[in-house]
Amino acid sequence: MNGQPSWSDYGQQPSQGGRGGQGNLNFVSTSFEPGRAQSQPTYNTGGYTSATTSFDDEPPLLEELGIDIKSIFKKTGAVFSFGSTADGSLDSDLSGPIVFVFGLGFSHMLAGKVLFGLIIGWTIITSLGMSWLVNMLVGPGGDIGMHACCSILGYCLVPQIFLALFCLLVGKSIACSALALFSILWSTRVASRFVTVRLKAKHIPVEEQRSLLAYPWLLVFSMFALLSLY
Amino acid sequence: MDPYAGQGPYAMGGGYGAGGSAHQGGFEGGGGMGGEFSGGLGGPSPAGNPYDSTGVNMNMNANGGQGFAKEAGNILGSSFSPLAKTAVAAYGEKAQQFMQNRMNFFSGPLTKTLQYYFNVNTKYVVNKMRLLLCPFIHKGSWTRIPEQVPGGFHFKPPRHDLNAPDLYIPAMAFNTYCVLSSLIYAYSSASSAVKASGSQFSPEKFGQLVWAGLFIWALEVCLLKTAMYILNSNQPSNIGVPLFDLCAYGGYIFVHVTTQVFVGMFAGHMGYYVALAWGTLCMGVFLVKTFKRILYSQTRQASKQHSKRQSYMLLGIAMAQLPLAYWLGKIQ
Repeated sequence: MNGQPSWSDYGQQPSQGGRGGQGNLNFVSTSFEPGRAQSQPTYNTGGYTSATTSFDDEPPLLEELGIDIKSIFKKTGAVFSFGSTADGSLDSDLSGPIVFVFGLGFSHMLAGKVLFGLIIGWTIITSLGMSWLVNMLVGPGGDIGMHACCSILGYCLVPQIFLALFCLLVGKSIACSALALFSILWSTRVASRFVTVRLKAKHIPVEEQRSLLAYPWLLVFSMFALLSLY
Repeated sequence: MDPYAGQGPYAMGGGYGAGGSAHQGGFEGGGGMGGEFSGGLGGPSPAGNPYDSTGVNMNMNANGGQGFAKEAGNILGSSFSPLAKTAVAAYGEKAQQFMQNRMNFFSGPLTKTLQYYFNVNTKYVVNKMRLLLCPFIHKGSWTRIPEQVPGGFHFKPPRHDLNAPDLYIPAMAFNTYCVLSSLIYAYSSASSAVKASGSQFSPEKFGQLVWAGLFIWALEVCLLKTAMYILNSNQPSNIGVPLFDLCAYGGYIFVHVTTQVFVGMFAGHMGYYVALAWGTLCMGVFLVKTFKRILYSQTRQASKQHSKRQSYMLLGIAMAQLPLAYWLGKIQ
């Protein structure tokens, strides 16, 4: 009991050598000190000479991780409004899409098809392809990064989630095929709205190529819809 | 620079788009392809754990060189503690070299060459599809329009010239072929022939379709290249057709294959064979007319003894479309 560090030992200054061999625990203790905001341990590892800030100055966790809930809701709202309120959403984040991708995978899993890896792999490859294609079509100077394409693709998978759940409940039928068509067109419209909003923000004329930009998205979402249909 | 500024940390587009020049656009492209994405998935390390050096390295690699350290901090926004920002700046040199290797991909000569083939608009696509599906009623000429730019002799881009080859239509047609075939497989359990085994579609089948299609495309390009080489061997002048042109001409067959598969969905076997014959005929005519212009545009004088060989070769090209299209369309 004397040599064993207990939870009450945390918060002691690291210079106290009484507790032997606590090198590792010191590091942990600085992170788990809720009340001892004043301790500023100096670290001797090379390169990190500036001290870290105290716990009170740290931003909230979501802000640190880069998850902006308001922005996610705004973009999801743009998806639900068939793209008509897509004008403000120019930042691309991946946290919303990750949730939707896993939601889609979960919906498929309820139907007995475990397709998580497939969906993620297809998302990556198709967003690579789409960002390359948009870069080619629009010409020099206009480029949507792969990050943005991935984000657009992720948000537009929301209708596919509805399709997967509907096909799970109703089974293969005419209604399922009709809803598939509808959700593909819905996703395509939202995706092309997102893309044109971004291109317009870079002052690139897209009027002549609007349908050309929309058609590949149609193909992409057809593939995702097919996953629900077989 | 307030590290806790309330910017969206994944506002990569906004952060990189601050400088609006074309060069910056190129960098965005290179950064966007690899850098942004890995940055996005890696995520910033929480500020309370400075010993996670792997996390810092990931961010460093993904987010910019020395000159862009500030921007990098900005771009990842509110999420960085000052500790990580100094780490980013310290590793900036290495990161900048890394980014420059990536940058060359999107602003190099390959991209510029390819962008010529994608310089299309909707009007061109519609007219070209009409030309491909029914080349008999085309009243205009088949030659490409040349233009003299300083530095050489180029053809006009597809946007301004209907006869220029483009790569958008073949790529989209290839993709449509894959998607349509997958659709047919997925719905094939409705037909009486395969009722017992359920739907034939599986995601692996899509991959198989893609590889088969690419193989046929490559075969077609090889065929055209061989034809060009044979026709070229006795000519004093050098007929060099760029490889991407041949890829474009070879890819046009996918338009016909897609239409025949589409017709076959509704009209059954008879309709499929009619569409197959029509598609092959159209493709043959299109290729013959196109290549005749290419050959004649390069030779100064039409030499009689070679023209016979040329016409046989062109006829052979036209007839070779049939087995390729048939093999691609063998779905039902």
